[in-house]
Amino acid sequence: MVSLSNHYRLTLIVMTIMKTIDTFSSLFLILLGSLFSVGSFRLGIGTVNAPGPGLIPLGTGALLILFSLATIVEARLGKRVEEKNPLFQGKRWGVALSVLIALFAYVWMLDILGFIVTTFLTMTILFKISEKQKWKTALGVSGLTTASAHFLFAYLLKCNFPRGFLGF
Amino acid sequence: MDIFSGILGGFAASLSLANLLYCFIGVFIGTLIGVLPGIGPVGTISLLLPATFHVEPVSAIIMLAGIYYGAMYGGSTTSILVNIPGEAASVVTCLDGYQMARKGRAGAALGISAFGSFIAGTLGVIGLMFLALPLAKLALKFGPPEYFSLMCVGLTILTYLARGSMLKALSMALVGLLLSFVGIDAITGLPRFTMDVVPLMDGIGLVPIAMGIFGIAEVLINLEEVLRREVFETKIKGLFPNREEWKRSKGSILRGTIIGFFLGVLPGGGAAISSFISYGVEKKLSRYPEKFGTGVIEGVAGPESANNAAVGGAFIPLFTLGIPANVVMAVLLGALMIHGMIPGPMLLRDHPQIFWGTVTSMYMGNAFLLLLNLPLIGIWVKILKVPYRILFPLIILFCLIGAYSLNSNTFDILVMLIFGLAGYLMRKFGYEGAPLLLAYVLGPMMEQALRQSLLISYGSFTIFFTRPISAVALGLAIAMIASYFFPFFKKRRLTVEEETG
Repeated sequence: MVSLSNHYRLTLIVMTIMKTIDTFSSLFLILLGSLFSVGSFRLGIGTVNAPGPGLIPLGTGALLILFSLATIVEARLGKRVEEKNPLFQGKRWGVALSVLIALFAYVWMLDILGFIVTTFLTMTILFKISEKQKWKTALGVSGLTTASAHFLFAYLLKCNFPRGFLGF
Repeated sequence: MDIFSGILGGFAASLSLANLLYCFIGVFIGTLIGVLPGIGPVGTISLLLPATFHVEPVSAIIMLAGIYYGAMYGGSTTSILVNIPGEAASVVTCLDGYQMARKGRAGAALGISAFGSFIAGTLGVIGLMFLALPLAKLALKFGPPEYFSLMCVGLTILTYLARGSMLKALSMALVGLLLSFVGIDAITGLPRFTMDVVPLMDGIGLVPIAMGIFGIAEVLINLEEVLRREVFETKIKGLFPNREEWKRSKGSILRGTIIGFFLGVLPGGGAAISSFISYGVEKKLSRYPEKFGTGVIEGVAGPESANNAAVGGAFIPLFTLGIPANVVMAVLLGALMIHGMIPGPMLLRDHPQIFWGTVTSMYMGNAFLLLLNLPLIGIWVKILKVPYRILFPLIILFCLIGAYSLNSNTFDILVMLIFGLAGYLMRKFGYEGAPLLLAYVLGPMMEQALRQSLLISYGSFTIFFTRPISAVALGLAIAMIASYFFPFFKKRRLTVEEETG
């Protein structure tokens, strides 16, 4: 009996989480739709006979707001309880987050440090991040990858990669 | 142009040494990414799109199409040997394929999926040739209202078939439309929603969006899971199924082909769904349905044929109407437009070599794939053993370089990463990427068709309902959306009744 009630409680928690994330994501989409709608008004709506540049974006934005509101209602009424995915529970979301941060740093540094240095640094981090990997291996594989990528894309395919302040 | 001179012209184009090479590269890469987890055909095609800017349009499409159907072959290998589908379209192949491998029939399972794919792929191409011409002729009579309604119904079917909530899928389609409006308005020449960011004047690029949602996000999701892939250690011998197995598979292959082909034509149908339906049909028709899931060869032959036939079918709406049936086709449509081709009935008339060259190259491609996948299966198994921790940085590096090389600008990398983050969160929150991307590609065409229709009708929306084809299409779209709401309210009423009485 105890396990049954525990299970019930867990289901309830999952349902609540689902409702919350559906609400949050829908609120975000409502915001997005509103921003586009406001922008459309500024562009000029025109009339149906002579549509302005903002008319169709406005309609699209309004529909997005409408469907997102409906999603909230749907989640509140608890129609979709079968779809339970504990968002971050038991997942190595820290790894995904670190990779994302490393990649945003890559964009930021690319123009400063140049392709070779930035790629080498980022690849080293990526090779090291996911599972236990010796530093020596990570550095070696990263060096090899960067060198091959530079040879293939910059030398053979003539891509113009940014050079950093170091001159390469 | 009649069909035979078309085929002849097509073979003349596709049999040139350069195009044979492009076809081979395409199917080779397709098989590779089909085998590898973490990147699918959409991500790969958009990744390689910039590389095709300088080649002939027909060569570009031949190669990109090869990636798509090549991935269908490669995906089945991982399903059978590792019990992990390389692509969504090979998920069901795991059920019986892996069990066959465990019973020592890995060779036969790989063999039947390759032969089934070959037969279905080839029949699908034949179907494509015969159906495309009359449809394109019909489509020449379509005006803006018909196009607008067809695109509406296409998007609605896609969201209707989406996993999870149709409302969420519809929202994603609308977000895709909104994103497509960013940039210079084609009619007034005014910049829209660019926030004075100069690179946004040309719009948000298709390639960074697709690579973000289907490349970067996919890698991030995979990184969260600790993937343990154990290749089934077995000597793969005898790739030829025995006579008994052939006899049992024959019907499945044919049924799979028909199911796959016609579902492929439908928007949102495509390879994945047709493989599921084929499996269901085989199970239902079987004299021993209870044995499905324990290594029944029909359960491999049917779905594997279906997903390959679907590829042929999916090209029909693209080439005849210019409306992509699924996300891969949407990216191909983007590729055609980058090469200055407007897909649709005019394409068949004005640039027949594109259509026939691509179609006939698919015969070659299927033959290449048979060679690549049967005698060389050992190589793919070795590649399967490359650990993901080595693989994912390489996939990411390719995406970074691919995005940068678009305009030699870090802005496109940034856009890709933002959509990578968005795609990752979308997966977490249960939103699908496919409707977004398809709507993004259709957006400018839909807006133009809608504006033109309103000009024709002097601002009256009745034009969409007074023209029969348009009325049927829009009616279907509205009915599908309504059908989503009605059972919902009905169910709600029932629970209220239960509670109250």
